Amino acid sequence: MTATRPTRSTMLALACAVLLSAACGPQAGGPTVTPGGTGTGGTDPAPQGTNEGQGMGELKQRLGDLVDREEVLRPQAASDAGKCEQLCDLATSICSVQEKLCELADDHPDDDAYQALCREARAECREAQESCVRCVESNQNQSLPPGS
Amino acid sequence: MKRRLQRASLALWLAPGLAAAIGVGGCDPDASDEVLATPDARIAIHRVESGAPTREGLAFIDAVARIHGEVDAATDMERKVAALRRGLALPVPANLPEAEVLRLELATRLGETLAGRAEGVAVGLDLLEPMLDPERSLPLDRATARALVTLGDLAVKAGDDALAAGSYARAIRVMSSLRKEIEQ
Repeated sequence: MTATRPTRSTMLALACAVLLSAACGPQAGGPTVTPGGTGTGGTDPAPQGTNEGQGMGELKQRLGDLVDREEVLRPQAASDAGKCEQLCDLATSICSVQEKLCELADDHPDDDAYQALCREARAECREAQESCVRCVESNQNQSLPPGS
Repeated sequence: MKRRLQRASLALWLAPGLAAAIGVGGCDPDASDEVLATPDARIAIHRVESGAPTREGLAFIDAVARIHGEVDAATDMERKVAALRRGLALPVPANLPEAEVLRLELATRLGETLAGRAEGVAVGLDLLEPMLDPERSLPLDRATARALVTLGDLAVKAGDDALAAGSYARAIRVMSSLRKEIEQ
């Protein structure tokens, strides 16, 4: 009995079969993770979240819900971005005027009025910068999926 | 009796000195400058409420926009100055609260243009100082802050540190109020 050498097409068919069986098996791709899940791809194979559909109909429904949600959130995100832009632009302007003011204060080191105005301007510059950072960070957090 | 005499002689001894001190303080121009040399950072602001659109109001806004377009296109400083002066001379229609901001923008631009030459600094100061007087309430708008910064820059060029510091501080206070408005 002579062993027949597998042809290239037989090898290809075998490889496809192995790949398909791996893809269809219960552990294929690891645990499913909803956008609201931990996203860690951990060891728990159970679906996370309550809205995860199994069938095509449920998935379509879920996609529709997400599209609706995006339509609601998009203008809000845009207005938040505009707000952050305004706050950051103001911070830049405030800090640039603060520099001019404190340069003048440097020319009047013994004048309390100049020094007080410079201190106030520095504090306002810092506060405006913090406000800009806070806005951008909160905007970023809102645009990320929850739980990420 | 002796004590009363002592007091009288002390008063006589002090009187010329006091008179001299008051005289010097009252007449010496440098001394009065010292009093004025404190930065005045007082600011009173009000919100600009949008008025109902009127034909006159829209015509004014359109005319101001055309002036800015003319200034953008002009390369000659004289032309820019003339156009901006024409803009400031436009009659302000009634019931157009935004006109205050538009006029401040024109004045700021004129001040910035004038600052380009040494003899223009005093003219720019004469224009902006009364418009931005600390006694006046100013509109809560970026235009006010820009105008105050321009006034500060002109004051620096004129060597008036007190006016410059006061104007910069007031500009920061306006921007700070705007920031708080946005944050709310």
